[in-house]
Parts: sequence; C-alpha cells; structure tokens
Amino acid sequence: MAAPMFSARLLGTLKRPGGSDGDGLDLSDDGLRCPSTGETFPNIDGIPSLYMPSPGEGKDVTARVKSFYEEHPFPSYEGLEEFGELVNKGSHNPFAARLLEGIGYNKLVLECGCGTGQLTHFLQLNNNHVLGIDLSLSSLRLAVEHKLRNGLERSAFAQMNIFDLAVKDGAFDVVIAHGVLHHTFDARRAFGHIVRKVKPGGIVMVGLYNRYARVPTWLRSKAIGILGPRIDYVVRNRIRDARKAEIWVKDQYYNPHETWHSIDHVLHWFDQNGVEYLNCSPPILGSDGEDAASLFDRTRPGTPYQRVVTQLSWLASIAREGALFDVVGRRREGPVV
Amino acid sequence: MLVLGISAFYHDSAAALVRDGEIVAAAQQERFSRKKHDSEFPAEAIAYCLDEAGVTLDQVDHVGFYDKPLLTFDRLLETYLAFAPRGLPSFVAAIPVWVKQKILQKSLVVKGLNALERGAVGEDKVLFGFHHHSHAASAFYPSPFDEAAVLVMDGVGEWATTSTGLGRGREVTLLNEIRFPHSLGMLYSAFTYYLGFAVNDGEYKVMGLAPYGEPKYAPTILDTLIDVKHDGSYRLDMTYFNYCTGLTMTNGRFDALFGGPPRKPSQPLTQRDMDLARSVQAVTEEVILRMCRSLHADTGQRNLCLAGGVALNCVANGRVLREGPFENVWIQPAAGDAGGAVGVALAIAHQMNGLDRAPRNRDAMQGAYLGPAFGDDRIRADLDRRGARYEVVAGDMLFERIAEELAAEKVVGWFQGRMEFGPRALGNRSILGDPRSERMQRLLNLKIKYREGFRPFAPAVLREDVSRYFEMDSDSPYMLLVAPVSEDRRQEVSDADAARQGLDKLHVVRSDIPAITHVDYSARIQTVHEDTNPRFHRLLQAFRTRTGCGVLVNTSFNVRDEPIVCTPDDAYRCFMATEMDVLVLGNTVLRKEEQ
Repeated sequence: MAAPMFSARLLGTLKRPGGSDGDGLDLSDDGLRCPSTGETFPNIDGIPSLYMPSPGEGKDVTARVKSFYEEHPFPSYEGLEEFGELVNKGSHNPFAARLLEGIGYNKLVLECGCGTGQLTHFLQLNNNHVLGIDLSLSSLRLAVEHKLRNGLERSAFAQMNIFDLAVKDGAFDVVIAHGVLHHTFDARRAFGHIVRKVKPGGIVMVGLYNRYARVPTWLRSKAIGILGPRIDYVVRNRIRDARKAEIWVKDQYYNPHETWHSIDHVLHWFDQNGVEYLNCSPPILGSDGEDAASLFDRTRPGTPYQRVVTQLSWLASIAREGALFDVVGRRREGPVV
Repeated sequence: MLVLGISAFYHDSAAALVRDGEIVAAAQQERFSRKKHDSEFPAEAIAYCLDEAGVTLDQVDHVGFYDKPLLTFDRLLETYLAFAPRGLPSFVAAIPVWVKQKILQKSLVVKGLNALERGAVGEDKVLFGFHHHSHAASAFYPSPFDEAAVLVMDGVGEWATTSTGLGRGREVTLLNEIRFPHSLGMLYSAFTYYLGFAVNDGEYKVMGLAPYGEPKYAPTILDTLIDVKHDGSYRLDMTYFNYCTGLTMTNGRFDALFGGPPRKPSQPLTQRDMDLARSVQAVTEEVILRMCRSLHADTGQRNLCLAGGVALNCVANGRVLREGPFENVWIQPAAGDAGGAVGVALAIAHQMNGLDRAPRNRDAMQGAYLGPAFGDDRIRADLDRRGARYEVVAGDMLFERIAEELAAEKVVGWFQGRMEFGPRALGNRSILGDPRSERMQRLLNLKIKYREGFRPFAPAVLREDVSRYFEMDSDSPYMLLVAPVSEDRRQEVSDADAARQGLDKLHVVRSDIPAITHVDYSARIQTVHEDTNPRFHRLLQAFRTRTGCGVLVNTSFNVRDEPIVCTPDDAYRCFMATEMDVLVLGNTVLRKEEQ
C-alpha cells in the first residue's frame, strides 16, 4: 500500500516558493525539483518542505509561533489512530461531516495550517485530493507518518509559509484555514494570500477565535496555572490521551500569539477580496443560515444586531471549546484585486 | 387476500406485504430513513411495500402488528414491582413513553398508515400477534417443510425469551417457553455490553472475536451466571445483571466476577476480552444444542426451523446442523424483530384465514430479495445529478470485465436488482473482493468498512462448488451457517505462526482463500443459487473461469454504523466515501480513478 508523497493532481498545484505559476515542480528522489530553474527542495526528515521565512515585518511572530508548534504538534493523534478510526470519529463529528458533505466529490482542497493532518486525511474521502500545509515540521511528521502507514493516496503535506504559499493561484476548489489565521502576525493579510489560491467560483472557509466568546478562555488562562487543566471543558470531556490533553492546554492557554475576530471582520475581508458570503458555523441566529441544508449553501448574513446577539450567545456554547467560529464564502468570478 | 405485516417500536422496524400467502415485498425502515436499527413507525417501508404490489390500504384485508404491547407493558410493570423500589429512575423514564405511545398503539398504527396518502384503513383491520408466535411463524411458513419443530430465542418478546413450537400445515403452535428475566439473548448481550460493544448491534463482533480466545471462563459462567439443565432449559442468577432495573446490562458483582469494569470502546481488546467472548459463545452453543436435543425428543420431528435474534448466531447454527439431532435446519434470514413483520402477516393468512400452504423446494423467502429495485433510468438520473462518470457495459461483457477487475484485487461495489430483507447483504447490495488475496481482509476492514481490524469476512460460493471449499454440502443461501474450510485448502502454519496469540493470529495465512478464512479455519458461508440470483451466480462463474476460484468475499454495502445502501444515490455516496475501486449498478460501471 505504498502511497506516493503527492498525487498527480496535487503535484500539479505546487510551484517554487517565491516563484511564478509557471515554476511548477516535479518529484525528485528525495524531495521536489523545479525544472524551469533547476532548484531542488529536498525533504527535511522525510517531510516535503517549500518553506521560505517571512522577510522583515512579522518575522518574530512567525518565528515564535513556528517554534511553539514545533514543540507542540497540534492537535496530535491519540495513541495509534488507524485511518478507519479517524474516519469514524470524523463522521460522528457534526462539523467535520457537514464540511465533507459541503465539499462534495472529486475536489482539490488546500488546508492551510493543517497541523497533524487529521482533518486533511478526513477530507480526502469522497475522492477529494487535499494538500495540508503548515509551518511546523514536527506536526507534519505525524501527518505524513499517518498517511504512509495507512497508504492514503490523496492527502499530501508540505511545509510552507502562509505568506508565501508555494501553490499556484486559483488552483483549488476549496481553501480552508480552520483556526490558523489568528496565530499569524496579520490575519487580514494572511487571508488575502490564501484567497488567491481558490479558483473563481470556489469556496473559502476561515475559522477564527471569536472576540466575544474567547473572553472566558482568556479568563481561564489567568487561572489555569493555579487551578490546573481540569478547568477546561475539552480536557474534562473530550480528550482521553494525556499527551493530547497537554498539547490542547498549551495551544489554548499558552499560545505565543493569538488575535480575536468578529463575524464583521470576516465580512469586511470578504468584501475586500471579492468573496461573497455563504454561511457561518455556528449559524447566525435569526438568519436563513440556521436552516441551510449545507454549510456551503448561500444564505444572508443577518443584521449587525443579529450578529452581535449570535456572538454573545456563543459565550454559552462554543466558548467552552475554544470559541472557534467558521465563515464560508465563495470567490466571485474574475481576478482578485 | 392482502395482509400487511408491521414490526416497530423496539429494535428494527420493518414492513412486509403478503398476497394470498406469497411474500410480495418486505423491507426494513432503516434502509429508507438511513438510521441504523431505526425503530420508528416504518412509514417509508410500508409505502414501499404497497407501491411494489401496486395496491392501496383500501385493498388490504388485514394489518398485522408483530406483538402485543399490553403484554410487554404487563411485564415491565411486574418487573418493576418485583424489584421495587430499585429501578425507580428507569421506571420513571420508561412509563410516560409507554402510556403515551405504546398502549395507544392501535390508534397510532392506524394514524401512521392513514398519513401515508395511500388509501385508508380502520382500526377493525388491525390485529396483534404474539411476539414469539410471529417469530415462529416467520421461521416455519416460508420454510421448505410440511412439518417442523420450531425454536425461537431472542432477548425478550413480551414475556418469553425462548419458545419451542411445532409447525404443521397451516398451523404454528407454541409448546413451551422460558420467561423474562431468564434469557439467553440477554446473557449474550450482557457480555456484548461488558466487552465494550453496543447491545443489539455488537453481538456479531463478540461472535467474530470468539475464535481469538479460549473458553477459559465457560465454567465460571455455567457455575454462577446461568444454571443450565440437561434439557437445555436454564435460569440466570439475576444478582449479576442490571437490565431489569437499570440502564446497563451488568452490575458490580458481574465486574467482580470477571475482575474489572466493562471495557470502554476506546480501550484496546485484550486476550481476556477474547477469552470472555469465546466463553459466552461456547455456553450459548451448549445451551442451544441441549435445547435442540430435547426438542427433537419431544416432537419427534426431522426438521427444525429457527428464528429470533439468537438464530443469527451462525456459529451456533453450524453446530446445530452438524452435531444436532435434526436432519434439516431452516433459518429465517430476517431472524431478528424485522422478520416478525413477515411472520405475523403469514400467520394471519394461513392460521387465521385458513389459506393453504404449499412448501417450496427451497423456501418461500425468494433469496430474501424482497426490497426495492431501481431501473436504469433511475440509476443514471441519480449518477448524473452527482456528476459521476460512468459507462454502460452490455450483456455478458459485464461479468467478464468485473471478474477481471476482481482478479486484479480491485474492490467492487455490486448493486443489482431488489434489496435484501434482513441484516445480510446477499449479492444485491454487496461489496466484493478476491478471497485469494492476502491483503484483502485488512484492506476491506480498514479502508472500506472503517471497522475493527479483527472482524472476519464471509465467502459467497457457487452452490455447486460449496463442498470443494468447505466441509459442508447443503444450502446456506442466507449466510447463516458457519462451516470449516476444507482440510485440503488449508496451509501449513509455521511453529512461530502457530504460537501467535490474540489479534496477532490475524496475520497468518491459513488457506488458499485467506480473506474469508477465520483464525479457527471457519467461514460464514453464503451459497449462491442460479434460480434466486442469476446475475451474482454468473459473476461467480465468470470469476471461476478466469481464476479457477468459485468464491468471492461478500460484505455488506455500507460503512461501519450505517445501514446497508438502498438507492443508487446511497451506493454512489458510499462508493465515493471509501477506497472502493469499482461500482456496478445494474449494467452501469463507475471506476474511482475516472471520477
């Protein structure tokens, strides 16, 4: 069941970091190679790497976040997860199951900030091809290890910088950044980079910490040193593996950099980047998003008042699990300005 | 005369329609609602049965419900009273549901039926059978026998947990019964629960796990939990169980007896778990064999019919056939509660209305292919809506081509004709593979079914070839008999391999058809017959012509925790959500790499 590092469809989306869309890549013996420049990109410890550090501005944030996730690969596998178990877990997770259903079949998907790659692996069901990128090699090592052990042919991984993505513009049907942009030095700019990678008419989904619902996590972060990790709902109820619990606590309470965002922030980003709003998860209360059959159905974003009420209500729901909300949009036809 | 049979509100709800004693259609509600073991009123299954027969409710003469809810209510009340005040929380939880829904069942059934917009029935047409009589009827009437002894075993139905009976001509009479709380089914379910599997669903896993273990705990079970008499009758020691009063199956005393709390589903399986599975399986087989011997002595019958959930224990069935006193054994393929719908409808036709019964050469279940079929137009419409790429392969070419794919270790989804009734896929909603492949068992479990790696797969074999592969030469069209793989097909196992323990045994190649050879050399056999499933028969023939092997791996067309597929769209979605390589719907072929 030996699986190649990249399926042909995914290989076709790659380009030289910093290069133009003409600088495609080929597989070489121990990594990737750009035929037009002759440059080689050897794997690092078996992990494809197309990472180019951010120059100047934001460099220290990126470096701190990178070294944090090198030390704490997130979300990590619980013990020895077989692919079948991962699929069962994903199918029983309403968010993951709805996401997969929304994506549909035979799609090319880019997951920015894939961490240890569970979602990447799950989304390659339905004959989708999914590229997971992250800056943490230690996270990617677990992702690639799972891929190779289970012979998964349509998920692939590479180390990349979200501000200098080594993939071609407009190459993907769906681009996802679930819980990632808020760890970059400028989430708005990072969004601008990832949205270019969606083809016109394609889907972009961003998951961010909510500025209202994240407050209790912030309060807990002040107390967790004294009261211990059991004050966290996820540690108490969701996680069975000790190492995984430790990593969750580090990610949530000791992260070197995080920013908080509202639905309206994202709507603004959408406007600036030629993206049409489709839906929000959890849905905006009182909007038709509440009854949408699919996460990717086109719905109205409600009024500013409805959005504030919705986000306040999240204090009683998603706040206990990290306060991550996702907004889904569709890139309008035509080039990004 | 038209009789509609319904089973609902406990485990698997289902409907069946019988015209002049002939089963026209039967289906489980879960296939339509896509909720596994759906126990709601089977509206869609009933609608399908009526549509299949082209009739409305106005034309239906009787509606039969498969058990008597008031008797079950009586059992619940008495059980609660006997154990009071223990069990108060579960009593408080259960009673409102009972008062609201189950006691008012007659009007509920009528209301449900009349909401289907397929004519109307009045309350006077609705009849209620006895739970175990419905099971017994489902076992005897469709059987090929004029006369037979009948054995029904399940968790519980009304009061009875085990019933013996006699079928003769138009009559099915119940002779003896063992009553709740003493139940062989509940004993098995208690171990299913204790081993960390879901009750009423994971019993198969216990049976599949058993060959990895040794029956070390069988003496403990026989000494403490169950008192088995020579004639097979038994009593449980209820101080070890919690199902009368609580929401779990077992209690602290049970835990203490086996040295620990129940396994959590997330915990790995240990040798002890396998030994426990083997032990309860051994005890179950022993009880059933004793019961068969005394039933044989009491009735003097040559033939035996089995039904009830315990009759799905095909390992025990295999022993009943090989070691039991009866010459012939027939098992209702929908042995669980779904089959009660068929049973009650047939009982109303024959026993109540005196309709004559003419036993068939094989049986009257028609291969269990009693569900909906979908024509080419519907298949292509479903596929087009999904944007699927497919080709239509005409006539004989199809079988050659698919045999070729199978021989190249491709995994094929095989969707043909009418859906099966009962828990098994029998070649119309099946996933097929090459049994000669050493990697097939692992591949199917981990990348297609997404289920536990230890679970075995079953062979489908041409009826005419069955004795070439297995130590058996009888019909097993419903995959309900287990028999050993023939000695001459087995392979020498090295000393190192023979010394392997537990789940490690899985990795040893034991025969030239390793994918369907369980660790104890057993196989759960489906014999494929030309008259009931000509297309599957032809595929097997084509595979035999190409490879010399007349056997295929046959597993149900679903992934773990989902019902078997019903429509072409269900099949497409399941195909795409797994690593299946090829999907065949009628003559329409999809290849994953072309999607």
